[in-house]
Amino acid sequence: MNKNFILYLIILLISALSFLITGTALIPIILSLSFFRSKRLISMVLGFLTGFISSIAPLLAYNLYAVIKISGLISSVIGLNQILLILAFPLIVGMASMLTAALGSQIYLILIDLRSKDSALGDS
Amino acid sequence: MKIGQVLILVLIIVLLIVSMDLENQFSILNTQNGVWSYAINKNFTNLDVKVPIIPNGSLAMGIYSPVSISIDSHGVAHIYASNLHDLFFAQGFYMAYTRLFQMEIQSLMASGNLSLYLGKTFLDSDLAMRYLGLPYNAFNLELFYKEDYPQYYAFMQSFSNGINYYIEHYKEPIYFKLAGFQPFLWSPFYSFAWEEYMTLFLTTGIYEPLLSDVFLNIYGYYNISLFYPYYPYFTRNITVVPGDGTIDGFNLTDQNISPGYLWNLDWYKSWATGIGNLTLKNNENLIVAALENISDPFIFQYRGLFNDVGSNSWVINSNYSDSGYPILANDPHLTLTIPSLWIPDQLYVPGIMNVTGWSLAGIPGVLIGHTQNTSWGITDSEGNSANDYLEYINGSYYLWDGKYYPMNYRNFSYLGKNYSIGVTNNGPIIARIGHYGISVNWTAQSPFPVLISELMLDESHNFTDMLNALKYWGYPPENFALVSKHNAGYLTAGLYPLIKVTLPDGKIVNVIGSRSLLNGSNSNYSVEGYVPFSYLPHVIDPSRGFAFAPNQPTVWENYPYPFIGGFWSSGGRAMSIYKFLESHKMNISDTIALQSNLTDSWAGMLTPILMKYLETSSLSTIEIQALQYLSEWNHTAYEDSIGMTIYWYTISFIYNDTFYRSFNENNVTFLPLPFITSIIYAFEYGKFNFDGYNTSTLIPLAFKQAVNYLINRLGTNISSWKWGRVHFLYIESLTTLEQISIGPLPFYGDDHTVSVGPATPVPSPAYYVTLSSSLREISSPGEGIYLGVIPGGASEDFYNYFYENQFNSWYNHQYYNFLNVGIVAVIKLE
Repeated sequence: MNKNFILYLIILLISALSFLITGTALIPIILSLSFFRSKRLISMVLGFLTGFISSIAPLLAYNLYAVIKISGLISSVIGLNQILLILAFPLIVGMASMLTAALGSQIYLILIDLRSKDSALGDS
Repeated sequence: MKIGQVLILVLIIVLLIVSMDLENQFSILNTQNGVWSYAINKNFTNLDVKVPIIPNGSLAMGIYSPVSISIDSHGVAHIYASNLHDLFFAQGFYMAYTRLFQMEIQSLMASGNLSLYLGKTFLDSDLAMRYLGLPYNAFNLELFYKEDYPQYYAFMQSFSNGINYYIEHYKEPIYFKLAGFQPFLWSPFYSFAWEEYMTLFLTTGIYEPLLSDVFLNIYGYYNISLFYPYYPYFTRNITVVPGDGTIDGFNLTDQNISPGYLWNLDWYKSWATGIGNLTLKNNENLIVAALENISDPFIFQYRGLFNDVGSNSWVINSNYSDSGYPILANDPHLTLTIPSLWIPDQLYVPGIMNVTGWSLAGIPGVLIGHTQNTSWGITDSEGNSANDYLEYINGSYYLWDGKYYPMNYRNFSYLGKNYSIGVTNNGPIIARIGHYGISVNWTAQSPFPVLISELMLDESHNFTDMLNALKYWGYPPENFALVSKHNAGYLTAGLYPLIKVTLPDGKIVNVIGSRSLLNGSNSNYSVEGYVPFSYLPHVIDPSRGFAFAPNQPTVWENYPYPFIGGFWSSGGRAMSIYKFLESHKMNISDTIALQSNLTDSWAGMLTPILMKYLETSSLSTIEIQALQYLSEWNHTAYEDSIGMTIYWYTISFIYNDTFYRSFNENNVTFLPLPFITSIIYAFEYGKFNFDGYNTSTLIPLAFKQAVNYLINRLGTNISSWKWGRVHFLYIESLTTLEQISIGPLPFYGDDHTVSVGPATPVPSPAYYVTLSSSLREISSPGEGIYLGVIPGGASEDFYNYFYENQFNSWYNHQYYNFLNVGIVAVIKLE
């Protein structure tokens, strides 16, 4: 199996577990920084998936009937689509993770850029 | 470094901050600890609760020995403890587990504190409770138990500890998360406050005399005596105590007072009330202000004069029962809410208590239920246990027997405003204009150990135990239906305040309550004691084989303490129950059939009168068809009944054209409508002459209006005019959210059917039934049969199976058997 893929699965697992234990999405969001070496688009996709999957994982343990009843009530009160309501939090966490990944990737690009400029100066 | 790269970096950081903020904002939707986390279970689950084990006799938070709570597949909790202290701790824990939000909202409502949590919308409700003094009464009640009954106060503390243990160690119910506040810690005060609130709801004599006076002022004595008679027509001698009202050999005649004379007097006159008609008329605005101040606009509006809803109960003697054992049936009619007011449970302590039935959420013990040898049910007795007084006030002084005395004041600051409620020797002033004020004197203002009565019933072994328990029942006065293995009977228990009245012929009699305001400045109209326990209406093993108490007079006109303040139901249910019971001996199947009976006895009497006037009227083709349905109708109110629809709309237009129109013109639409029995009586004897209408003009007009209305609403095909298309059940969630309320569903019954389904017929008939049987109970301890059902379930959580698991059975007049039921979850406290 691809080494990078295994590495990604490990990061995902750590992210999901940390979310399940702490209830905060900080670790998935921070860990998404680690995708900085990939191409920016790929790192963003990986970041999003990390945040989204980590934060949607707890739903697997819940009773579907009860989830639908709760979402039905809240969606009718606030007027938001029921599915969107259930996915709202994972989507937000996914977005935050995606942005962290993008941040890592961007900083990496800037550093590379700076290093290449430094070496060009040294050559002169 | 390129400028574009920096800009992208800044943009990403900004977006990241925004998304992190969004995550925070949407934390309620957090999949791990937000609202979804409540979806971990759909049903009750096993719980192991680690509670501190404390030494026997300690009042610290904890239990003396392990306790188990087994929840069966019907949602009945069976609580097994080795002592009462632990039992009530566990009951408190279980109530918090299933109904914490309901309990806290109810107690806030009762203590006049809802606005603090839910906003100023509830201010009127809070002030109504404070005017009536509910929080003060609850505070005094707590003090009373603490000082006079420390053993029972310790039970209340243990019950509160159980609730608080849950609050401190478990997640708050989802409603708190949605409403955005945390549960507050419980104390016995809140249980007492809720007890006071339930008492208020079932008390007669606070709202009724005020409403009665408003009607009297506008329409005069002729109309009030015709439409609101002292005793309902047609129901003579049929309920609890058969005969003329003689109780244990004592009656009015023995006091040299003729019942015929007494009941023909005008009890609104100044000889009876101490207030002249002119003074009463001049204080009309004050009376309306008082009604407005004490009406709870959110839950229970004006109670209504002769509120034609109530409860049913009956008992069958062993010699009138097919099995040879007594039978009891009870269905208290209350405003239906989801979750239900009731929690089904069993409380078991070996050798001390083994009771099963229904508890009120927030109050320990079982209020209605059965032991292995006894069973009891409750209906409201409707006689006055409160009186309203017109006070003469000068500044901060009130007049009393010619002298001025300083008022006490209840001062409080609430939501930034200061309030001051004066209190006279009669009670709190609920409204004041100029020199006049209205005070309320209510039995619940003085502490009485009602809880002890309840717990003694829960521990009863035989009929005598139950009678002894009811000596502690102070308020509200209730008709207790009682059966043991071999005996059956009734006792109307509670405090009935007596007022000594000098009749116009100079004779003196102690009467219960008044129909009108009383003079609060004169000791002649003050309460002087209560009906002695031995003379409370009662019957044991009635010779005719049965007795019943559907909010009717329990005794007739020769009763030694006349119920002047007696605001009964119309008696339609009483008539149906009587006809059914007298027709043959009873068994459990008959009892079920009677509890689900949908015959409107008053319709049986009124329809022929309607027909008489309609058959000679000029009618269109469709009106003739409608009349045909009406004439063939069997007076039952099933969902598919067409005659019921035509009948009810005709009645509605009779009310709309006369009373409601006139109430509207006089700006008193809060007045309740007169009995249908009064209308029947007035029609039958040609006495109906109200505001320009008489029987012969009114009936054809109302019928034509009804048919026209139904054509517009349901079309011209009369065969589709089914009752269930216009008459719906709606059980509103405590949160008022439609999404988790029940209904609207097609519903059976009407105001007068035993299986009741009342709805207001005015201003335009909108038939949402919101009040009906809050539980149904059928017991026969001798046969070992115990059946019951509530229109809901044990849990307040709308996503829980037990939120409404009993509803369908209730809706279909089916029952759960309390015996031999599988267990679905066990909560261990150890």
